[in-house]
Amino acid sequence: MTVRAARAPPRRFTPPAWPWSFALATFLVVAAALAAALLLVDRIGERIIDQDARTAARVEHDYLTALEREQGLTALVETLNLRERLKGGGFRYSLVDAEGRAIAGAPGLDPQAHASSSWRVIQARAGGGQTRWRVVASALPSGERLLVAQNLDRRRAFRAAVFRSSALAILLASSACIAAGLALNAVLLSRARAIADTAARIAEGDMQARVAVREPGDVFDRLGVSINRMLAQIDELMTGLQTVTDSLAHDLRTPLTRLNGALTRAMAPDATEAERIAGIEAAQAQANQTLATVSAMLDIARAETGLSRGAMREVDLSQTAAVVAELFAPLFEDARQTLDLVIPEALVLAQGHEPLLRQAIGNLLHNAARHAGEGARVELRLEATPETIEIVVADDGPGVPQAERGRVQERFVRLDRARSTPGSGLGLAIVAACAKLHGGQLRLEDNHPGLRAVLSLRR
Amino acid sequence: MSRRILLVEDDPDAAEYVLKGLREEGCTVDHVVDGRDALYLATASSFDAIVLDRMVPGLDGLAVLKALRAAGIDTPVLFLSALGQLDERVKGLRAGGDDYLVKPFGFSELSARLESIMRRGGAKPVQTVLSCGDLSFDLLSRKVTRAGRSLDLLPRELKLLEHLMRNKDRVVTRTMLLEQVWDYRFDPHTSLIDTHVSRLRKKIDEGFDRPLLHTVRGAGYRLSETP
Repeated sequence: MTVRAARAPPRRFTPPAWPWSFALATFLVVAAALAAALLLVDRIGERIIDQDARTAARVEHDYLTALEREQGLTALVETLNLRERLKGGGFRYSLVDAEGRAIAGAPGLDPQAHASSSWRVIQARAGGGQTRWRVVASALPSGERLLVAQNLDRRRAFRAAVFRSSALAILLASSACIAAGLALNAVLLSRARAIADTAARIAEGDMQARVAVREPGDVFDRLGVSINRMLAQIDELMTGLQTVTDSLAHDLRTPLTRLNGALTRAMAPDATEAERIAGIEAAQAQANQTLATVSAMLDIARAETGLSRGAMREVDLSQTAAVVAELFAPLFEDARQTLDLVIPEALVLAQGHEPLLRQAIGNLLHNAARHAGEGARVELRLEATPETIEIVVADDGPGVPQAERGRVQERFVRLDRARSTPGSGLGLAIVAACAKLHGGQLRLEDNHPGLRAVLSLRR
Repeated sequence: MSRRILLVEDDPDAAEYVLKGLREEGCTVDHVVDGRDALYLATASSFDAIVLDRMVPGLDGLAVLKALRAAGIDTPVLFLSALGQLDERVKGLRAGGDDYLVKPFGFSELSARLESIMRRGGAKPVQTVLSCGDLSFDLLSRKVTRAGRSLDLLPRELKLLEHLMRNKDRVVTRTMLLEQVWDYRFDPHTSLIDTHVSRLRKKIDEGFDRPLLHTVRGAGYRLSETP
């Protein structure tokens, strides 16, 4: 059988290549859309301007025609010459007589243009070079022909200027957008990279790695806080698991060794029938103890993972505590201890895991009976506060030194002087797990003298 | 009278173990490994009790039980389940199971519990006085007398004695007492039950010529006139 290398080489977080090709594609699509929009605006603008110009030229033409009809040719000629001199309104004018000789207006406009009355483009000479014009022309009643022309080259130049400045504006705006996008991207990537790097370090086995967070934070800080909390929980579980594995191996070996010894005795060739049976019974007792330890561990595990929440319901703690106290009463009598109950009527926990609560109370009583010493007074008391119900088991025995109170809640921890008495060291761990399941806590306090164990449950 | 038991268990080792034990006790056992077969058999013919594994192929044990109860079949059912899944046990009992046994178990435990649930199934006459030989327990006045002599028992001893007397002549295991008298579903890691029983024994047997409360080696206790 081959075993693959357990750990991949450490890898730093590198952003994959796709965001760049994705960015490029996005850029191209946006650029194409902007270009299309620009062209569309140009086309539509041109059409509107063209229509306006045509209307304006016709209006001008009609006005001049009317002027000639009402005030005569001389007035028209004067008006046209005046307009040509001022070069206002963007139009040029030309008036020719029936033979095609210029009477007024721009002399350079090609007389042939007078042949058409529709709005059309012609090439004509004006002030030297070739210029393109749009013209509208018509014959006056007196035989002269009037022509109103618009310089297309100037319009074209205007159109190009508008186009260029629009394009420049779009270019500037998109450049600013791209810059902002890149900057934002860099910020996001660096924040994400910090989190990803932490995750990579965890994956490499550095369980102490944590995401740096600021207060008050943004969404990344909130993510970091959640991740840190998750890591802390994982760390706690792993430490717990480690302790459990170590201690379990240790604590299971003892009963298994005894079991083996008992079976060896039972199998001895010269053993009598009674000895054999005694040996087998001893072996069974050890096997039972082992099983009990294992099932206690399962209980803890289940309580800690919160899987038992489905079985939670209303629990009358007063009644539960009284029944458990009754069950354990002989233990106290045997140790010549007194057990006092201070239990108010019908103290009800809305959401409780009754079997686990029974076991927790039982374990607390069992601990007291075992460790408080002969002749001690033990008290089981229920106290209600607005938020909690506290189950208190207090004794006046030797107590537990302050420094060791945290430790005894851990799994399998048995203080040295308790090593001589039987027990799995799981008792208080189960109580602590029960507290956790009920959103409460187990506190071990000084009872002056003795130990005061408080199982606090949230109502 | 031979009892007829339906065993629903897909694990061959566990099935073999239970089959052997039950047959040695003189029971007729039908064994199936599939939940659907179990439902079919249980509805088609009548059994004195069903031993039902929680996890069987075809149809889950819980579903079999629910279907049976829905069909109005109230054959006593003893649930079996791997590991001490407390919540599973609660579910099993809520679904109409009569008792719940966690693997691994001793056959004596299974036998005692089966006996207990089969007895429970029968119509019970309302009893106000329980008796075993010359021991009698007046349930109304909570007075216990033996051979006409009044015995002074603590409330917890009365509770224990009542349970033992209701299960007269049958073996009651320590776990059954823990669960059924005190509703305590965990091993208390001490010989608590033995202490309770020995105190009760002192009060009801000491000073009388014939002991009534017997220890059954490797199983539990039995209250009976015959040793």
